[in-house]
Amino acid sequence: MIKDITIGQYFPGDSVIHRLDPRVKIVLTLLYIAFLFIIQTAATYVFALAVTVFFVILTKIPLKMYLRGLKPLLFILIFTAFLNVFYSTGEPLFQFWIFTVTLQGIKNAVFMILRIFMLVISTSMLTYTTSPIVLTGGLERLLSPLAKIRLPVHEFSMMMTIALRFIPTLLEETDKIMNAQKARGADFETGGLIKRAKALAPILIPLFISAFRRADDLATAMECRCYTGSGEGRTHYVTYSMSASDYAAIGIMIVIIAVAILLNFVTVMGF
Amino acid sequence: MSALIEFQNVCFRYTEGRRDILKNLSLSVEAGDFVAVLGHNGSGKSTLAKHINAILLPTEGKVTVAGLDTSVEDNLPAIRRTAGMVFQNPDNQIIATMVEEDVAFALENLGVPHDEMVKRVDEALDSVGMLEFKKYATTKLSGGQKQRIAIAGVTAMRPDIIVFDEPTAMLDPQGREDVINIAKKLNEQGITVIYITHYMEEAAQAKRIVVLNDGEILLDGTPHYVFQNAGLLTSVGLDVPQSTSLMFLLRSHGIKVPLAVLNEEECVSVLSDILTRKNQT
Repeated sequence: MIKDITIGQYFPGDSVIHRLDPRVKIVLTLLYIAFLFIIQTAATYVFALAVTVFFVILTKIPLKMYLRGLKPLLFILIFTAFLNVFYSTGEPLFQFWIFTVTLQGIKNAVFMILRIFMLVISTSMLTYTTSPIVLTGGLERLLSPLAKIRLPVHEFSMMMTIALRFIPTLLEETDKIMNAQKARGADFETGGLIKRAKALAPILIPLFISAFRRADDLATAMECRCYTGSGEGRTHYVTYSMSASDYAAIGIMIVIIAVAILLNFVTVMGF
Repeated sequence: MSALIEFQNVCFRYTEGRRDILKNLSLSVEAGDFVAVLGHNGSGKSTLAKHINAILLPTEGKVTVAGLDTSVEDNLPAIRRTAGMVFQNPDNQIIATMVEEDVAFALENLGVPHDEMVKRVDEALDSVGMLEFKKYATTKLSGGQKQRIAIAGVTAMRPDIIVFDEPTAMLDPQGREDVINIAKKLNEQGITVIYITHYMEEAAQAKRIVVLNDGEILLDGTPHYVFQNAGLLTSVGLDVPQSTSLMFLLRSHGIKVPLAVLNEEECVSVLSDILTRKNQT
């Protein structure tokens, strides 16, 4: 069923990470990404890997799910590793044909792979543990100061909210239209790429027409409920308040970054 | 002091030169009334509804709501707060992903403080019997439940008037019954209800029926008066269901039967009740 497609890759759950304030989660993820770029030594990498695994365990989402997100990046990973191994300067370890492998190169390749690996995991963690709607709400609050310099923060978040709200409705509708066309003898499964793409027209056209009609209805309904289009003077039903675990999370992140900076001065066997 | 809703010689057309959808229509509705507006497709009943909260403005004539002229731009916020509206398609009037957030939407727009908002959302959900669904995703609800959420979203604004624009056209029988019962309950609580429908059984439960035909008022009066003119109704393509007209006939002969009989089964049970009572006396 087309309805079963998961959107935004959110895995509902009730872990410590799930319950964090979305604003805190967004800021901490950004901090964590910055942290991944300051690590330089082997000792810091080991530490960072341990921290990442620790967070993954806290989310109670199987590591398999995170690794799935890495698949599309496999090519890039191998490619950068390849470049790093063969095109780094330093003491040559061994040589064949036109390639020179250096110890420095191998080190760079391993570090680069680890860094991308942790980057993907940490950003996935944010979307896996936060529902899109909460994420949008959190972003709106975080960016709200930008409304002062006339950035359309409220408009952006309203658009996101409505888009998210209508995804299931439109999927359901697509399903209905597909069935209706199938009942009239439409064939979506056979034929070459062009034939199949053409077969989509009888689905997309009714879907677009109905989407525009819905948009019109919705706009009227919103106006009837006193929506004026600006975020000014609006209050919010959902409020976010920071709990003890949010402060703890911030504290932990600060400690992690401090430890990483210190570990950057420690070199083990020249790494 | 004029009536709560006042239409004065209203004409409406979408573009100049096209046919008039409302033709020189005058209508006044007193506070606390329950008015059903009946008419076949294209009779102008939805157009009439959209004039009440200034979604559409009259081409000629004047509409006032609680004394406010709908064509004056500055009156819009006050008019929209006074007259809420529930539409036909429940899917196209729900804005948020979660039930409670959707009910709160109007309150957020009005800038109601958070504590007050929480109280009013609960109240509104309770009034439509949907309090237990507060934390549900709106897409997981049935059509009737969605429509009840839409009503809660309007009542949370605490309007004086609620306009229902064919709220049951897309619902199953159970959903239809729930919606009309909620409309009746809200009316008992003092809210003026304008109920657009093409179901006679629903209109029969109103205090007053206005029948529209081609943008003009054909009949206007109590359900009793309107259903007596069954011939006129049929001539403009409105069928009075047999069970309903039978109930009205019996009533006019002094036999006490309920006005709203929704289907033949109910009609049969009402009649058999009367007959057994007759036999006993």
